[in-house]
Amino acid sequence: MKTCVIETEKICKSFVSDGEVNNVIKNLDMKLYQEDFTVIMGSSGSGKSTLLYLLSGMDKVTSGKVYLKEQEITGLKESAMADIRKDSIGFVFQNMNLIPDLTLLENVLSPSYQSKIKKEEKKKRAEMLIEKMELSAHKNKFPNQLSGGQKQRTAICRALMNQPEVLFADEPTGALNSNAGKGVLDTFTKLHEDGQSIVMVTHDLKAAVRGSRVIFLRDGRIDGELEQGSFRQKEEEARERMLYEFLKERNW
Amino acid sequence: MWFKKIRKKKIQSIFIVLILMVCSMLMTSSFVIITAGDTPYKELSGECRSPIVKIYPFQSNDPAIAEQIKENMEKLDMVEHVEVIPYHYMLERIQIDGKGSMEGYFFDLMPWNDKTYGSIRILEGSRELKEGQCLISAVLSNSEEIRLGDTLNMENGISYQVTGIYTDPYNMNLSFDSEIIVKENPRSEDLKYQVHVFAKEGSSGNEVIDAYREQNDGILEGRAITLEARIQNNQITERIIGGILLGISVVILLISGIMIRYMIKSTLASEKKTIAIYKMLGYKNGRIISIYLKFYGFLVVMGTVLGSCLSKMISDSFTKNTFRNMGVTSSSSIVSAGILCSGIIIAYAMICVYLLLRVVGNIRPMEVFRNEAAYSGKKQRNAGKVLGFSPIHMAMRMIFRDKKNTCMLVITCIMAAYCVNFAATAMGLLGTFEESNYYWLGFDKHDVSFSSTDLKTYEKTVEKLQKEEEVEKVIKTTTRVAVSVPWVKGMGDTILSVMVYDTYENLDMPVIQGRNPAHSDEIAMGSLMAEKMNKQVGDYVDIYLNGNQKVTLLLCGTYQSFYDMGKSCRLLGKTLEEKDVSFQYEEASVYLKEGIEPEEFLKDHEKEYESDGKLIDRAEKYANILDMITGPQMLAIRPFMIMAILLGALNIIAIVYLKNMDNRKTQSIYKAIGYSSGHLLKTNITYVFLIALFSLSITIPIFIVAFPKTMVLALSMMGFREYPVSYDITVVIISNLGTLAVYLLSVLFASKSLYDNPISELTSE
Ligand SMILES: Nc1ncnc2c1ncn2[C@@H]1O[C@H](COP(=O)(O)OP(=O)(O)O)[C@@H](O)[C@H]1O
Ligand SMILES: [Mg+2]
Repeated sequence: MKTCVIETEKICKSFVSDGEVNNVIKNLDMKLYQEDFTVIMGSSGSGKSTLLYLLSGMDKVTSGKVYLKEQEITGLKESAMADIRKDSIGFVFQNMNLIPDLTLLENVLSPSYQSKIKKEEKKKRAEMLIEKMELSAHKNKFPNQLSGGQKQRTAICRALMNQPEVLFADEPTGALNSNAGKGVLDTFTKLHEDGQSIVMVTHDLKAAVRGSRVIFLRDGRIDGELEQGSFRQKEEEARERMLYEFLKERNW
Repeated sequence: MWFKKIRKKKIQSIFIVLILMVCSMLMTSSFVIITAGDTPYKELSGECRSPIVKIYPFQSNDPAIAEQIKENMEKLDMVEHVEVIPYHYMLERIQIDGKGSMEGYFFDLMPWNDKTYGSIRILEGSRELKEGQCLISAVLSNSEEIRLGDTLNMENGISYQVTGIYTDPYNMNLSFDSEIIVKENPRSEDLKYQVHVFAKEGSSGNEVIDAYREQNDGILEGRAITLEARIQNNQITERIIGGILLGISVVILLISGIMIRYMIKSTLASEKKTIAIYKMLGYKNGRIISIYLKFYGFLVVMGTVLGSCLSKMISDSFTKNTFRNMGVTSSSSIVSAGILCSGIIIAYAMICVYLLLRVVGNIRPMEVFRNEAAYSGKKQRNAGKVLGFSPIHMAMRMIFRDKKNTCMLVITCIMAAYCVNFAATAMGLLGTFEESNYYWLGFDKHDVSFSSTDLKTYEKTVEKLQKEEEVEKVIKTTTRVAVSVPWVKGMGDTILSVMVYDTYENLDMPVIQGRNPAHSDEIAMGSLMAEKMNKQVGDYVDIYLNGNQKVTLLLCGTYQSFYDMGKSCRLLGKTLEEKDVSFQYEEASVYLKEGIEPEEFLKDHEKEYESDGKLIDRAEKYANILDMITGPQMLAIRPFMIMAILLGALNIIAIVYLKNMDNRKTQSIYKAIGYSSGHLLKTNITYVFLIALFSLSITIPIFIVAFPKTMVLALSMMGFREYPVSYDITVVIISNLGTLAVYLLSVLFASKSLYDNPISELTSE
């Protein structure tokens, strides 16, 4: 039996613009499990990013509840939400969102500012992550001196710095060329193998096959789900075909 | 197209408009303050047809001398008409029904004269005079609140009812003799004589005086007051203050120019992509620049013109009194000053804008689109030490990694802090002027002053005063001696005010160089006069006593004084005695024993001496002269201080706000990875706090050195060489803490966006 890390209860998200209400997420119930690599797919505008922000506590729901390890996080105060983002969540954006004034190393260190660990320990951990992502040579560079792939890997280091419960990623390969994209995906696969819970949004088939579970989103509702087990390199083509079938049934 | 930008850049537009508005407000009003009087004074003297010169003969009670002067005057081509007017110089106190007595003024009781007074401007009542009626000047009416129908009771039992209030260029200022116009002189004894000279069209008073002296071996046996000198004296404070304010506003304008550059730069950086798209669509550089030029041009013109219009508020509060004393109801016109200043500011601001906009040409679309690296275009930077993430560390990082911004903030803070310190200190100083009036006017630091109203009893009264048990010593003095310097063509008036003292020994009576006279062959002079005559301490100077008695004296010291604009000298009584110059002491400086307050002494003895003269607290004695100097400064400094702080705060808000805008994305990222808004706010506050602290620690020492120098510069035309400032520590602390508080409030105001949801920033393009 898998443990549930995140659970939602009838969450809705609406935006109001020009007086018109746009219901993006509609009464959505879902469970995310520990050590799963969950992939959320869906056509553009189906609400994937919106959902990810709700799950990760970046944005507030319009109604409904979100639980993180059985603790309700909807309705928490702004500072408590900030703590959750800091301690339990790691987030990787499509456009990296590194802090331009900070060096690579500082960017990675930045989420650990309040943790009780000693300074040396923090630095050790950051350097270990940087080493793992093969970025050591660049650690004193600023983001505008890094390539896209390097930036995205830095962003992943930063997201992992506080050993989050769940690592979220919104189209992490979207802005990268295929080579750099593959590097980032390999990193995710490795993290998954090491037991990290991951939730990733993508509309890229190559990225989606890496997940152990695929959820398809349409019009703010879940429209099908595929369990495909952990990724193995030699099964890649077979998985791709299976996923393709799954998506075709849903007019991908 | 450019118009739409205003809606999109609301905040920035407002800042630019506001900053330029305040600049042009300050600049226009200082111009107006300097020039406001010109036209009304010209109109007033045109209307009044006042004498071009009034001459007060040294032998003031000898009608023959006045007649002689008149005769000589009439021989001059440029002179049209001369009047000799007998008048009564009032030593008596004047009591006003229900209002007590008037102190500290000098009054001439003038009989009506058609030539001199026929066209004076009547503000209230009528110019027709009957026996027992009088006309008083508007400035006297305004400052003593004397209305039509009030009665002036002279000490000698005669009284006059006020039936008219007039104004003319000679009676705009209570620090000179005030003329009370009556139908006829009350008595025929005890009269003095003035000579009023009317010139033909186009001749100035100075020309008349010079022509007179040329015809009469350089000698004019009297003190000549020309119309132009009187008008100039009336405007002198305005000129000085206006000058200082103008200087400040120019500095503020220059700094605001930097501010505006900074704002535009940040706009351009954020609009690079838009510009790149326009370029891709085939827009020429010139076209794109003109869009921005129109946008900023609109803002610049709007702010500047608005400010010029609003400057009326400042300049009016300043010129109000002068105008009221002239009976001018419409206030100063700001049109020409407004156009001039707007022109200067608009030109300056638009040059700043244009120089910046030229970078549009350097934007290459492909680079902008390709990646962010080229987009940010930042130079390789030195990372330096790895810093932590506490507010202090983050603030330090902001300071050191964005040096340009830091410099901007520091400059702005210094400017605003300087203005605040300037204003606070100046206000504090003006408050102490009354107590230290001896210093500014250049006489001795006594406690109580005695002026005789009955010269026959003077010596006895002084002896009596000396015997009072509270009194330590009494020094006999007078200012009623005529001293003049040798005439040189073009010099105009040659008269020096004089202070004659029985002794200068052991008196606190400051000099700049040398010392006060100790021997009968010595003289001390105002530094302005000494410089004009090209004399230094140790040189001999020729002066005339009572008009025609030439003596050569050793210049033993120089001093500075507001008194008669620095045209004065100090002599010993025995110098006059030795030269057989007739004079009489009529005043005395009374020194009280330690621990005795002037008020106490006055309360106990005022009545006792009433029949012989007036006893008056030193602080009160020259209140009117000091008011003339300090009053307008007080008026002007207050609104200026408010403006300066406002502008400083505005600049700070603009910088912090723009920085937050620039950093919105960064802030959102920090929030997304778990930083609370409070943490980021603390960072902003620490950032500004550190910068403000640094700026203040630079400003205060600079200020302490520069302030007296600025004031000396401003007052140098009155011969000031030193400006002692005692800094009131509490005032300094309070004003600087106040400044700091305003800065920190600005941060709070500018940081409101920190509490917005971070997501919208992170996902938007
Ligand atoms: N901040 C917002 N304000 C208004 N509408 C939004 C906002 N964010 C997303 N939307 C709308 O929600 C819908 C889903 O957006 P998003 O979740 O980004 O889709 P996806 O990531 O699946 O492409 C879109 O129609 C979008 O217009
Ligand atoms: Mg999306």
